[in-house]
Amino acid sequence: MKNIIQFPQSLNTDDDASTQAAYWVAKMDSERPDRALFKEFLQWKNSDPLHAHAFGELAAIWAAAEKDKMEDITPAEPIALPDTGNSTGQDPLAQYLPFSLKMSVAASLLIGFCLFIMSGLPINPETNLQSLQLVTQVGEQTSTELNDGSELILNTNSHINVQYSEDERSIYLTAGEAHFEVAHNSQRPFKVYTPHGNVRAVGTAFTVNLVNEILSVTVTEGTIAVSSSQTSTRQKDQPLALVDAGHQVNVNNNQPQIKRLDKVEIEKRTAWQKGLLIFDGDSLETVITQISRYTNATIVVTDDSINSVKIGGQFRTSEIQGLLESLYDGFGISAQYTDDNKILLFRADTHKLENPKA
Amino acid sequence: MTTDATAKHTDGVLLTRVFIESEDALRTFLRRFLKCQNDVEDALYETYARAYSAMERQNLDAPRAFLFRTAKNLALNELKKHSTRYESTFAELNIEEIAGAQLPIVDQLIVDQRHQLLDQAIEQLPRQCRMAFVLRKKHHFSHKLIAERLNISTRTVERHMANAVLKCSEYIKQSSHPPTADRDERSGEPKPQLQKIQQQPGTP
Repeated sequence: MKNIIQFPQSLNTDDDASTQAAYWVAKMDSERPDRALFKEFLQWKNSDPLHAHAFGELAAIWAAAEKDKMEDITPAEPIALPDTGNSTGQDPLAQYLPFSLKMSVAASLLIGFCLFIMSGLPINPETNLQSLQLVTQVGEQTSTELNDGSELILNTNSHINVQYSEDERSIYLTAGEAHFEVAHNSQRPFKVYTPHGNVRAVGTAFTVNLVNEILSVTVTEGTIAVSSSQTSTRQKDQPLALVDAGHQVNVNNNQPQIKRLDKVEIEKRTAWQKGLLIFDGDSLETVITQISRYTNATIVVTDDSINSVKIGGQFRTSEIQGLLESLYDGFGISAQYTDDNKILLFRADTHKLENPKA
Repeated sequence: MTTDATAKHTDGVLLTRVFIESEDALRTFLRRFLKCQNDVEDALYETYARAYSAMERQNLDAPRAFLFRTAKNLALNELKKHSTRYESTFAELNIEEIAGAQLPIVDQLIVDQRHQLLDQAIEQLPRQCRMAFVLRKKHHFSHKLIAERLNISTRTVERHMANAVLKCSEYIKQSSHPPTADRDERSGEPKPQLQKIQQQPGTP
């Protein structure tokens, strides 16, 4: 304990390079350094090659700790939310419990006991119950294997809550898009609840999309049943429609519309699961609607005449900037980045005339 | 429902490390477009700060590429101020060429080999320090949230982070090599500490 108390609050140049580097690791981790602090850091780093080395070494430990035991504690990369206001939410400290059990007996008993009190709902590794909340930020995707062997892939800007009970595998998708590969278990139906309707599956693969404020389900394997989200408990599970693989159902105000999708269309709609966006002659307007889901920037078309430009090709969802840059080569459309996080699209030739600077 | 302090994964340490590795190349690149040294230094900070902010909004899969793209955009803005014909110059800015081959951010070999030792190192940390470190590294809690959860100040959280990473590093060094023998003088990169680590007694 005394080591912590003695650790300097400010940089002490009498300390060895590692101790100074540790100070900087903590500083850079804590928040974005301002200009002065950043300058101070660069001066420190450049004043001695040992400094850069020490920082690099500690940063490697820092990064390794990230990967270390990850699989024991969280199911995958996704971030479990603390959800402190909700006692049914999963407490990250509860996830820490299996880790603590591996420590020395005395310490683990003490900490484990504290965690039990704090969490209220520790995960019981002996059962197949699971409670998990996942959120993806704009531009982020994540995939997770659930403890029944089912897999879920969460697309950009989405929010999902997994609540596995003994007799039902309940998923609450409240925003965005998710794909499910459901492990077969007829005793324990797999249900996805959304504000716009519910989807029930036994052993299938399907994608649920809420982006257009309606429920849109693309079935790639097996059969699913959609039901209304407003169904009262008396008439629960009364399906609105049964949908087979190769079809898409859109549910708007409890009215299901089913259409058949060909292979190409299915591939297009599920490409995001491989981190891709596929366009085949879609208008720039459509393309922008799609890519806007993957970036925080607002994309503004300054010239209506380019909206109808037809775009084809495959792009990575993580490389929106690259896509926009390729618009220049292919279509003479330039992208300009503004300070208020907008991306302006315009015809390169007209822009020259409008801004006759210098 | 999203607690913005934790829902994304900001890793300023990783970004800083990548920045250090890219610093010379970024500087060389920016010098081509910015005349005075002060502007270059400003642009360097701007590049870093923007990458940091972007990371706070979303996960950055390729921080190095992001740094170079940002530097490119800054250079582009600079060109626009001075020229109406920036589009043609824009096309000539082949950033990948300047950035060179993508370097691995973390030396995977080192990480894998140190894996078990690191587990032990973390377990050796004092209790509160360990909890703070685990909340930060495994659950991506912000310093502020860790402070609230453990009922300590954010300055103490910062000290726990510094202490944890230092103590883990020392533990690994002591358990493998003498501290002086693991340095590559030329690159400043830590040398892999491989063979001896696997033979650690007591490793589960």
